[in-house]
Amino acid sequence: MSGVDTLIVGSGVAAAAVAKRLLDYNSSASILMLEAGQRVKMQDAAIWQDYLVTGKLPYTKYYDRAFPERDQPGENVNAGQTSVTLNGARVFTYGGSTIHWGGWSFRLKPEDFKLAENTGRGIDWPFAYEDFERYYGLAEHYLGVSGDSADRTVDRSTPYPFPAFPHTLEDQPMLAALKSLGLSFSHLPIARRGVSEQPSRHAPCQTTGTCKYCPFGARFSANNYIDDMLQWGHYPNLQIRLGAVVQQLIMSDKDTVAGVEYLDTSDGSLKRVSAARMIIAAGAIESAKLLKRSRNAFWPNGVGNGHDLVGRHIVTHPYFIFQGLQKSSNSKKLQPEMNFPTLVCRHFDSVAEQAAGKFILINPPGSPKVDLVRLMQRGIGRSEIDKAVEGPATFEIHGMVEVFGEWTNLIDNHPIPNFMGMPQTLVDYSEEPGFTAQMAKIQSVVSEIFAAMDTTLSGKPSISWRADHAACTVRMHTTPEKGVVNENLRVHNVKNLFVCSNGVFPNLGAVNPTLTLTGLAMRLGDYLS
Amino acid sequence: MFQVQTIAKHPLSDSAPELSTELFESMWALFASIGSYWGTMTNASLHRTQLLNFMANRIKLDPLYLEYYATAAKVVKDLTEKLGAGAYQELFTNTVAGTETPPQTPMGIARQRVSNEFVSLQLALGGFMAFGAVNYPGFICGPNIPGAVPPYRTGAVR
Amino acid sequence: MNLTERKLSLLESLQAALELELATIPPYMMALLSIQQGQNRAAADLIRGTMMQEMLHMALVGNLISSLGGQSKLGKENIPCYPLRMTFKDRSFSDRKFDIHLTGLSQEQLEVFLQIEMPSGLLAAMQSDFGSIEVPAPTIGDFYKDIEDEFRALCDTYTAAEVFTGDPAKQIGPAFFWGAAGAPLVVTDLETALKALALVVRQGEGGTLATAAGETPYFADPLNRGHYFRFREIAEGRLYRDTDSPLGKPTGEPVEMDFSKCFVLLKNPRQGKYAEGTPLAEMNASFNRQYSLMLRQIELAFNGSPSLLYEAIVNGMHGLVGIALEMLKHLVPGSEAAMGCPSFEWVAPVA
Repeated sequence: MSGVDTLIVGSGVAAAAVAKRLLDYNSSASILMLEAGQRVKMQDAAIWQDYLVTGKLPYTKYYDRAFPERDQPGENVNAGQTSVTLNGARVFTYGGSTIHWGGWSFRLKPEDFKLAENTGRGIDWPFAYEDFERYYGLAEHYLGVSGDSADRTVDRSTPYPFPAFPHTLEDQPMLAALKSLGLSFSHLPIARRGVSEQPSRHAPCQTTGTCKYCPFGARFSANNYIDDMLQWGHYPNLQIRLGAVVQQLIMSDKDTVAGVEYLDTSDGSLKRVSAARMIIAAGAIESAKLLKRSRNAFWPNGVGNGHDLVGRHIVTHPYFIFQGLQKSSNSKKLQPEMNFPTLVCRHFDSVAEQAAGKFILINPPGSPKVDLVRLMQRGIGRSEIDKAVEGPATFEIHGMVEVFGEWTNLIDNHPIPNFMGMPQTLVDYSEEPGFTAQMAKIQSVVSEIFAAMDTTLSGKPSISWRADHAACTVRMHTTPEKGVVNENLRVHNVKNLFVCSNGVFPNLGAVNPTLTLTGLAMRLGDYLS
Repeated sequence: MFQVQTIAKHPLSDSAPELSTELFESMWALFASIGSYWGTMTNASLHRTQLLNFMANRIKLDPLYLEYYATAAKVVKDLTEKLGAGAYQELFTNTVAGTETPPQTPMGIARQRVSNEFVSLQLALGGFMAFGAVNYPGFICGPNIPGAVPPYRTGAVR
Repeated sequence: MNLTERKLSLLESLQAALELELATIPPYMMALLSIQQGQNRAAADLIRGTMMQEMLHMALVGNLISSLGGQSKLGKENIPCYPLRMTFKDRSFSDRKFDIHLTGLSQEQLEVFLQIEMPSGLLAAMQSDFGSIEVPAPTIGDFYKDIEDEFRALCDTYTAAEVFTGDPAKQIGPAFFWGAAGAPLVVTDLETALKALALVVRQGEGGTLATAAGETPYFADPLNRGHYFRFREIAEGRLYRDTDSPLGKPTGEPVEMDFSKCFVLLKNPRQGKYAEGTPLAEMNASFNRQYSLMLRQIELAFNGSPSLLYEAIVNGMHGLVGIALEMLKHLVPGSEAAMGCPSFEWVAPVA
């Protein structure tokens, strides 16, 4: 076994951020990243144009397969009453899921850190917003977030690195409606690099509108940043190994992890690597699964699983889509000009809503729906297309709502290898009874907003429980009875093992987890240095 | 830039496929007529090099595209002999050619693999502006520079 | 000479400047790409930054041309052909003639880079032997100084409206990102013209050495670390400290430069040097097609369609690097150690 100082499982945003932070302190730091996936070619003009005309992306082949259907083989098991889709939720690739993420970069609010204190549910974070705040600032700079530094939704001690994107013309109907209803709104903070005096090898966003495959690399993607570290950084002991599917942790003692055993997919062999310390940064689901399946004499139920918490309390964000039909007409010819949202309403992301489920609302960039390509490709003539553009618009309002961890909701290993070479995932999730009532409340709010937009809600929303924001599977708490990791992300009762993923969150709040995760990664880097 | 990654291309394709002048000019005429037919681009000549890059990129990813373009050139030639000035309209609107999945005829190929893709490209290169917007998914409008007019409509009164 | 004649003469000089900037790019690019992966990173970064700035200089010169109502030319007649004979018209020095070869990075090639970027003040202080781009002045810096003088003289005689007849909207504006190499600026009057020229000169040769005698240390100003000094850092294997003298050697952090970790490339390649039907011949032909089309797009971008520059970079430049890196992996048949090098020759684009 060859040894390194720090072994990181995974190569996504958490891995990239913690590695960067460690290297900032010591550029010679010995770091090995083991990534199960392979590279995807980025910023390629031909792939970009293929995406433009066919919608095909080069990384969807690294998505989980769909659940098995009656007549279709698939992978993974959906055991609960709520279908928590894995297909499309994450990407098994070098750089992880930021290769396809939308870049929404919100800070949690102070009350999110005190869910138990405020509502009696779940547990609190082992630190307060104020204690963590500066890491949000560092994370915003690392990810290249464009945001409104004057926005007082939360307190901040540092400005965003780039200014907010102004609200679009297409935002105006919803914006005006929110104003008229007295509902607060703001600029959606987004990981798209902007223009500033600071020189950078990374390009600013050119508002090209093909964010899922940005030809400029302006939307943060961990693979680009790790490539940049490898290519232009002076880090002689930073290594990445691709196609390395970690099978289990190897413990030299109950409280000491010695290394890992991994499957080298280039030749099918099992290899071992030893490390002085390890950080599992493989996402909320794989990080938990790895701990759980690392069974040995010291840890018969999986490393760190002395209290049967690993994999439990999983939550994600139900994502809802409401549609409404405009009563009058689209005389201003509103149509999608951008590919990321600029308007967000966090009015209901509040203390008042915390017990029932905070939620945010956004004006999605694809609203109102105008599909010029489809019309022209069908051979529809110019005057008819003009009429279609100016006719009554179909508006959409999207959003996410917080749901709460339950001990019975869990993910686990399913003992059949998936297409990547790790065990498939079993997800057993059932939504709580209160969810329907909260969705009804959200619907009435949206209905009011639509009414103020001179629009009629077209019935119930689509709700997706896709596991993009899976979290809380190895939640943090000061005591091992209530948490898998401690306040410094160290696995309880193991001296040198850490987890850095959304899995460590005690709760999700109503917003995307990546900014918080990036802050946690940098804080972990500080702690370890 | 300067990333050490292999070129994304089909193993059987060239890294910068070659097209004959004749084939390019035929496809160019097709592309330009999209703008004329829908009234979305009166002077398409600014985009000649972009069409060439696009065609080369399609062939790069799938060598069959060279055949598709040659097929489209023949279809246009035949349609022009039959219908004269109405050739492009027929290509752009023929229902069968536009809907059969997968395309079963040369015209189906010409419509679905060539002219429909050129429609997407043409809109993204600026054709969309005819419908009132300032930016569009696929159009490189530029960055948001503080203090300057944003690269999309905002409705702000300045 | 009347206004039209004087502008034409100035435009001719600017066209020469454009071709000069372009001529430096293939050798810098191949020097950079010849460095084996993971090796000599600091040196590679210095060369990369220099190369990006030369591209910026092209855009600035393109803007100067456009501001006068002229057109940049980047066709068959304007592109460099290697070996390129650069001569510096004698003023107070003996014949300065040297060839620029298109090849990978080596001690020899680094010396050539130093000679290209030699600042005018330093020439006075150094004894060197020099040996075709006809640079009608002793150094490149001097050449740009002449252009600057001509702009001043024109604007002394004529109004800004008479001189700067080009449409500013057609120039390459600051919206175009240049990878930490600076930003293009739009030229509309004498002030902005001088600013553009000053940026080219400053980035190229650093501040005038007259300031070296002043109180503030020369290298305290990061803008003074011109291309010449970057190459000097690589040659001497050390970065300059703020307190170092530009006339002396750098004494700062070490810069690793191990020439044995650079691929040896086929020198001054031509399409004809690659046997027909071989992978190198095909790749070189592809490269030249893409290169020529990229130049055509850059020419169109400089001459009124600035938005084409995005594509020239994303599609053209990135694609070229990809092909070049592939060629580098192939040994030239019949040679002992030379790897493939693209020939940067013109192939008339069909568009």
